[in-house]
Amino acid sequence: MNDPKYTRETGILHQGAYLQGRRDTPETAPIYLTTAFNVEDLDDLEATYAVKGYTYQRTRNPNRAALAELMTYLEQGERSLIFSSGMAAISTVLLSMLGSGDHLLADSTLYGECITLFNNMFPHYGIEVTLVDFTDHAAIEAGFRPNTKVLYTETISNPMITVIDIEAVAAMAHRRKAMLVVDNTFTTSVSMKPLTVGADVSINSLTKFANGHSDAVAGSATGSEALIQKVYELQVLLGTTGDPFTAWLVQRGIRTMDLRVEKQMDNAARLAAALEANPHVLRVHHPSLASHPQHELAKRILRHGCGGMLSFVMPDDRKLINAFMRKLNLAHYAMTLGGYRTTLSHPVMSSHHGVPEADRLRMGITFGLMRVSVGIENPDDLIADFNQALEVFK
Amino acid sequence: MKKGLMTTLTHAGSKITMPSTSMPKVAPLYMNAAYCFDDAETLAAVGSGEKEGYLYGRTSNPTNDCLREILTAIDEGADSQVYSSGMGAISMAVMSNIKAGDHIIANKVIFGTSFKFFRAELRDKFGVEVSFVDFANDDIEKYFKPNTRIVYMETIANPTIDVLDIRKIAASAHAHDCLLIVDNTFATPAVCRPLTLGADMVVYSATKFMCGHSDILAGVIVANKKSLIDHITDVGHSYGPIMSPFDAWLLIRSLRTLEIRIAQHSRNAMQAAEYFQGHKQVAHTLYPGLASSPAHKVASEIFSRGLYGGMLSIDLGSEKNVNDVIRNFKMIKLVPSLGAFTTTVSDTKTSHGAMTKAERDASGLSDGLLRVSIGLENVEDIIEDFEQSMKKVGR
Repeated sequence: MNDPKYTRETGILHQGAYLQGRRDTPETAPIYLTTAFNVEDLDDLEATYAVKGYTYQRTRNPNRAALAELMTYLEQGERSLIFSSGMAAISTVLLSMLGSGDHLLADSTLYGECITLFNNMFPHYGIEVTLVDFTDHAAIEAGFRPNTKVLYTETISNPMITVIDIEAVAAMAHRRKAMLVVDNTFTTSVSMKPLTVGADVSINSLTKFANGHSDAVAGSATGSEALIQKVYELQVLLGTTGDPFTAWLVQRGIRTMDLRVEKQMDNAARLAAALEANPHVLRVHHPSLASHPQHELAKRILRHGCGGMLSFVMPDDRKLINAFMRKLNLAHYAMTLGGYRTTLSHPVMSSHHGVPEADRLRMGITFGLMRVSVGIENPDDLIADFNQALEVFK
Repeated sequence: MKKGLMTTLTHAGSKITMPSTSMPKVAPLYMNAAYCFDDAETLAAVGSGEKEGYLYGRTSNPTNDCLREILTAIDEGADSQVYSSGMGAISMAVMSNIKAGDHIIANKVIFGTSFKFFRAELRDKFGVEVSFVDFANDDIEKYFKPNTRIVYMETIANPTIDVLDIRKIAASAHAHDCLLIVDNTFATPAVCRPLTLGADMVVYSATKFMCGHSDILAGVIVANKKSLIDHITDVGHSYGPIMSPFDAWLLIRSLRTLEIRIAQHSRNAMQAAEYFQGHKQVAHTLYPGLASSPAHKVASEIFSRGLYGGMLSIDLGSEKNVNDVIRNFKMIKLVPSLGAFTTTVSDTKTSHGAMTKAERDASGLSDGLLRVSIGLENVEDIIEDFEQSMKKVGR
């Protein structure tokens, strides 16, 4: 628009609104920071609707679509949606599948926020919830009710790093005409593709290993066209969509996901072995270890690696644990995981703070349990750092 | 006192006071043009360097300083500075250390725009003498003059992928009181650290492998002496080719994966080079990782742990063959850049278009050369695309 009849006040708003000249093919997708797209007239608007074109950011955005396309490919599904956080993905997916009078059967060792969502929020909507240990298949069978619509689990549990047999759980769900929703955050599609072994929806907190740079919060859900369409219809109403800039950053992060996660899984296995050999460590939880209760299962279903998360048990001595944390040079405490740097988390003081002592002890969560999200540092540097810090227990 | 709405809108929320208990896991992005002061004395003290602090976006920025800390450490330098592009860094490194009447010795095989900068800007406009010398086959000793100030080269030469012994060239430069500046763009510190081999400064187009995601332009200088960077920084304030803090933030993000990316680029390039070496349509494969390469011995000595980088060139015999192979690719694209996570190619006319045909011929750059930046894909897929394209083109 270069019309001299308009004033500067008008021009300042209209000039430079559209890219002029040749549309090149940039090596990297542009960031579409626009809430809406213009149409020529009502016919054009109708035509845009007809091809599911871009109209308004909450319904569709090119950066979110690009990331969704990448997630669909990685998770081997038919369609994906991108959310403002992992919790937004979990809540939107489950609420699209459950209604008043329905029953959700979920693993009991889930991420703490999930348990809060299921126990405190879902009953408001008349959704019944039962939490059982998903490593115990008899407990799952016993947990079914005639109105069980959805089973929900994580691929690897937090913080005991137990491995769930997704294929077996999916078969149990489908026998009862229920769906299985899986949180694939800890494993990522590098070591596990839940949809290929029977899960109906695979959710990722992209904030973690997928993005891997601890600088964006986002979630995704991948599944069949029909299931995801239902999720999409609710997402548009709840407004749990991810923003274009975050979608662009996460897509950038995923370009190195295989390199990072493979290295993280390899480092985790090495660090787990080193910690198990350390005399000050009472126990180490990582599926790569022969001592792990699901080691054989992990070898079978996590063929590319057993994940970058491990936990280990130190003596229940708060003073010495503090001294250990301060003496570590490389690993810092952080309320996230999956980043390029190794980080620590203390389940008793964070994720399981509200859990009664008897309950958490039954799960094996002692005060001395420390969870480690292993980064991509040089493994020898990491092992040396943990070993020197563990000397405080001497 | 109740403030007017416009005053509140312009003043509130401009200062973030982080609680002492909050340590962000990722350094924040300071999109700041300038800093505020309560009095002129403090500003003057910061300006003179008497007190630590930030003054103005063109002179320094905390996000850029985070980046500089990483760059200095990974190249084992004393200090570093960052610029808006590789050419911004190269021009600042050279212009800060040269004046009319001085003399530069540069390798004749270098990036086309660097060549043009020396020839058209420094030599033709600013009265700097420039000798373009064949570092690989000629003896640079005989080109030194009393006014020689700088010796300039690339770790891995663009586009011949030749590797020179930086240690020897550094010794010659230092014997004549000259600075050796090395463009380390193709290698990155994951493959080679020229400062540990005697270079005085390394420069980068960090747009390439350092960034690796094709989404920013960036230039870097790392020096073995802080005084060199102090001087360049001071000169740079006058020219102003600064790096945007946002680009610095993205580059920091990129460097977190530098080693695992470069290791994969190198592994893939090695396998691709072996494939090209056995291909009848490829007259020559230029890659220092190949035992048959004249650069192999020196590269093995000065590069880290058997990594030879992600760049290679192949001689397809003619410009027509180059164009035909590019046209028949299914996945690989011609991109006037390099060092991305995807495999890209460039012909000599693109990378060295800043040089005349006569200059390219004099530097031995054949029009049949195809420069390949090997990406992070599965190497079988890269080779398959070359295989099907070259099959279509035929001999």
